[in-house]
Amino acid sequence: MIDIHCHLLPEVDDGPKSWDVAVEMCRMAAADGITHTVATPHASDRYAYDRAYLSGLLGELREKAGPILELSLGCDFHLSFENLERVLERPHTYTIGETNYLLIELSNYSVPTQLTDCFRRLGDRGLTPILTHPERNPILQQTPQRILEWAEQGCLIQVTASALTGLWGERPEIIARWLLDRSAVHILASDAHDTKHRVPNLSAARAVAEKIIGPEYADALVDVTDLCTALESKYGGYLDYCKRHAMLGGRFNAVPHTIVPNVYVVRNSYLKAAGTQHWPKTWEELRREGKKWKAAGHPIGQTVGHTFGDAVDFTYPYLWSFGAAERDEKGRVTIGSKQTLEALKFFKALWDDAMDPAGAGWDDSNNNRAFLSGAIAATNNAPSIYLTASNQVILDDNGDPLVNDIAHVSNPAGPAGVFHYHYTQQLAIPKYSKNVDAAKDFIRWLMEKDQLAKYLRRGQAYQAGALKMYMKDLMWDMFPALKPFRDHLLEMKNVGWKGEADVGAARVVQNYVLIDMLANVATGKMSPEESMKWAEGQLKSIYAG
Amino acid sequence: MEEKVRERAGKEVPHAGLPVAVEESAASSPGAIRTVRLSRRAVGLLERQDVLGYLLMLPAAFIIFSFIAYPFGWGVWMSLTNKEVGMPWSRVSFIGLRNYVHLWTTDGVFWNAVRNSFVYTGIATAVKWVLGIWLAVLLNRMVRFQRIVRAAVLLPWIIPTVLSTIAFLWIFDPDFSVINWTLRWFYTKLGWGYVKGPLWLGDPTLALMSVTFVNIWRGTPFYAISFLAGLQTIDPDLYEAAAIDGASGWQRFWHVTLPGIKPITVVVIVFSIIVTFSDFQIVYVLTRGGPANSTHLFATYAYQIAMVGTRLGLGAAVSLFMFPVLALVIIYQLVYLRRGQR
Repeated sequence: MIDIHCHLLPEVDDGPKSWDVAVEMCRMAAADGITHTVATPHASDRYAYDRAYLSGLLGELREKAGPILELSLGCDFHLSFENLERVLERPHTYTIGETNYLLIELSNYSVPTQLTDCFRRLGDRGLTPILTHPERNPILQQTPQRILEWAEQGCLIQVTASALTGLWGERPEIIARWLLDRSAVHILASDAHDTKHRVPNLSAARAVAEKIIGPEYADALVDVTDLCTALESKYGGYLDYCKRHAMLGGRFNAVPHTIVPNVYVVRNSYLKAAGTQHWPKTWEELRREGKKWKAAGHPIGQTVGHTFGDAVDFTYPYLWSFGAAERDEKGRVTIGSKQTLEALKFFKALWDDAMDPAGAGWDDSNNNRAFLSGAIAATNNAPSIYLTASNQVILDDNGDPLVNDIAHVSNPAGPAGVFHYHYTQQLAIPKYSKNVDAAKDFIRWLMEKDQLAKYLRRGQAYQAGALKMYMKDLMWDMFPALKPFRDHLLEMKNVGWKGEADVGAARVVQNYVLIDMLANVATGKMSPEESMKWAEGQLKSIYAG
Repeated sequence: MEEKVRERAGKEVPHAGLPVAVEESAASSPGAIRTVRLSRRAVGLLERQDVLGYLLMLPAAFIIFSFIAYPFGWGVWMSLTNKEVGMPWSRVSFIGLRNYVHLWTTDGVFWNAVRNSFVYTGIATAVKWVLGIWLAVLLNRMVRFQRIVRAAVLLPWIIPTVLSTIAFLWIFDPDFSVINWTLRWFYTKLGWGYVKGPLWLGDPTLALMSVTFVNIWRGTPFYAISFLAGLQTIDPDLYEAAAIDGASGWQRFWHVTLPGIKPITVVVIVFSIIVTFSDFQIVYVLTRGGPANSTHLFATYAYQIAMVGTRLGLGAAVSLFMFPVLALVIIYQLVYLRRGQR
């Protein structure tokens, strides 16, 4: 590892106060696995910068520290009007070694509006500016969007390593992660000043960064960011969660393709027969009304077995609607919460009172069959039940087409609102493919409106498009009974929410952790408290690994 | 190219009984036979039994190495690393026994799988054994339709497991189960009202019993046919002698039949334990380890973690936890067979 920002020279700025400390810092850096450090004393109104004198000090330090660390000279260049004139006049007084890279530190009190222009002028002089620790700048913390703009213009962004590990508190850490997620961090550097507080350590932050940007399969899949952004600019944006499920660390690993949406599918006649006037608005109401349906022999059907479709489609939005989340914004596991416990306790009551106990052993097809045969009154499902009833002209007990008795309605609301889960589908190209370009061309063609709109209509609205514009497609008028699926398309979060849809979040799905958390309670295997604790342990172990 | 080794009455060469390689060279002129003389030394070596023996063993050794030893070693190595699907080897690092420690100490599902595997194997093996002997004795006595009945008994074992298990998926369906339908029919006939019937795959305990039942159904024919073969090796004189001595039917079974098929029993049970303990298909088709992880076995859990969950290292560790148990069983078998040979 190379550390390009480190206050290593003694007694020239607010860095080490003695040679001993400076040498100790070199040792710490080497022990951390750093092989090369750039000593970067301040150049500001407070600290003068004399390259020749500093070079002498650097030579001295090299002798004292021995060959454990390679050393170069740079400068933590404070951007002010006078300073800017100076660097434009004699650029190589301040750059890193003999290169054209210049560290630039902004004032905490004012960020000039013409900064973009400053960067351009530096560029004209052949210099590449490296913006240091923007995540710690109180002004940029309010307007982090500006950092992205500069990065786009070719300014390199250096984030303080210790900001990622939480040394600087909440705000800088969130900004640093935000930048990492958007591929706007080019360099991590220690900005070390001493051996106690701001130490020369990079490995800890590197591990954190790897977790954030080291996405599952990213090493194995072709980067399709160009293709996706081109589609976005041509057709307008993707639905937020489609994008989140397809990208990580600012990179599209797959092309968002379609969605299989899920809402509640109900038998109107069963509800009416039990005296239910309208579909329940809340889970509490669903439990009350569902009790009547169950007593009449038509419970609510729901799998909490090991399946990736319906079990996920129910479990995730159910927990979200109670305000329960796997993780917080910083990726810490938060499933052990009041909200989760409430959700689990209520689920046990809902299960016992209103649901079909058989659901614990169901796969993704059981509820379809149970619904079509009249065994259940309602179930959370994709349009498949409706389409089967309609395409195969299934009749109900009175000999009427069953399809006329089917209604699609919203998931009930919990204390935190209404949520749904829609199955997102992506197209990815493996790196081992011998025809990456052809594959890209094919996907590009497939995703053109001419093709995709036709595809979706031919699919009888079983799927919705991942691009927002398909919500307005004519298709929904061709299948008016399926319109509720469209109406609830936006009420979804990504897996792993409030964290990113990263490898850990995928594993939580693949190991059925949240589903089993419900199943433990439903089957009476564990109490709500025990099950929550069990799930918390599972999540912690998955997210740590 | 085809090679033929032909033994010739070696007259030309004094070193008698020379195996001479005759090579058909298809390249130059088809059908032409060229005689290749092996050097005296090579011939000498080939004539030594120990050398030739090893030489003939080579192909088998190659197969065992490349399809068993090598993947096994690879699995062991993988279980000691953090390897994941799609992770380039540059990022894979050796992490010692951390995967094993993690499973042993912090994994919330692993011990479920351990317990289930032992229950599944224990019950299935015991029941298959009893049923197998019973069936074998019956078949042995049967005079008419012998062949057709034997073939029928073998059927469950011959049908591809996944296929028959899918049939069971239907049999265990809570709404359309043939068992539950029958139950419901009887309930209504008897005027007891409506009954849903047992949730064969929905109740944690019942689900484990259901998958065990399918394993028994599938595995019993193997026992029965093996025992039947064992029964036919027992000398009828022994039964005659026992009968003359006044032994009852039960005594004859206990003191003649059982000891008579003991060698084959050991082999059958050991094989059966090995395949039952590492079973995958039945559970995967019926429940995928659910509900609430109450039917996960070693193999299904390893698959969930490694193949679906992409953590190859950790998954390898799960499956290698089977190794000590199976090794013990195999060692017992080897010791037993050795003793028999002496």
